[in-house]
Amino acid sequence: MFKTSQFEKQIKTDTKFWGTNPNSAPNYNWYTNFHARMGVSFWSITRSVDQSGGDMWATWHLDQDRIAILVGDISGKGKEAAYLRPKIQAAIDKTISKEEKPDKSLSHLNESLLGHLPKGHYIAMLYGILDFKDQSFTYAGAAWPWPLIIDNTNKQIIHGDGSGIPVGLIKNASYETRKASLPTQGTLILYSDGVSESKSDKSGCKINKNSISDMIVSAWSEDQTRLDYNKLFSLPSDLKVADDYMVVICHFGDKNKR
Amino acid sequence: MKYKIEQNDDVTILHLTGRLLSRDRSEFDHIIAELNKTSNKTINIELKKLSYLDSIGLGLLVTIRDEAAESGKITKLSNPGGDVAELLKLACFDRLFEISN
Repeated sequence: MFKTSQFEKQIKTDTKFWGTNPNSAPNYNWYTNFHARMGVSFWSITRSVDQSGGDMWATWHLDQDRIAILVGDISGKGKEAAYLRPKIQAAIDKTISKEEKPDKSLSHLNESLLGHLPKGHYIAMLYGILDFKDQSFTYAGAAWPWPLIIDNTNKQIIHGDGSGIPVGLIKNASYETRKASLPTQGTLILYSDGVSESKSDKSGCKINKNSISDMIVSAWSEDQTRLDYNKLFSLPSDLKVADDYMVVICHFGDKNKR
Repeated sequence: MKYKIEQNDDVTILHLTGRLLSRDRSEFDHIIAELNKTSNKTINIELKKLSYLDSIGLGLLVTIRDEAAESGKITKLSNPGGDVAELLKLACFDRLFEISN
């Protein structure tokens, strides 16, 4: 399910994403080694209303134990949202610092974007740091739907809190840094709000935090050793989505391999 | 989305009904123009019959708030329910508006 090819594709995307600042651009070899050493893998699915959309995600390394992840959803959808994307990406690249806590990073990004977006536009986002030594996820949200942390060993689902004022909307917005424990055999699921208006290929039901939780519990009851997120989040190929759709999943492997 | 503006003593009430979506932006230009004409210092946006708002809809509420603030008016939100209440909570709009139920 977590294909290396998918991961490599993402690395290339990241390299392009962060390409304007060589200091923050990820290193391909580092990523590959990190993936193997830490037992960490990523999986994602995106679908846009048009050929391009306003959902984005990126990861980049901080040090030997930590990786940062950012997911964003620009207000509007399709081409309209995509039009704002370069400006927002440039602001992220210029503003977010590896040394800062996530809440400060979002505050600085907010100030950086004010006055540079059309009136009433913003980006909903979540920015966090996965620390595999500390086994924690430290993050701040800005109107981002509930991050889900799945403990596959103890069969528990932890609902995080992505609430916060959307970035770029008002002056002096402040954010909150939150911390969650990462289980040894765990999965972090991040999804854009377009997901909650979409229907699962598998069940035909609307996808939201409750239906995601239900489907995971159902898979556990069937004694599946590994959840098939591809089945859970895939959409019918001919389905025209109502809003840009993105799901990003990070799976952490066995700690003993780290 | 449908709307109705009502003048009630010293409060202007904007009733929103249905789904507030990006396609309603042009309608919102008319709404803002109408709200600008009122001399009442408080604008109450009644959300009881609003069943859904998308990301642009969320931004439109802030646009009303900002436009009103320029002429010294306060904007409040009333009776959000279901998906609307959930989205307002997610976006921490209780920090931007007084929200009553």
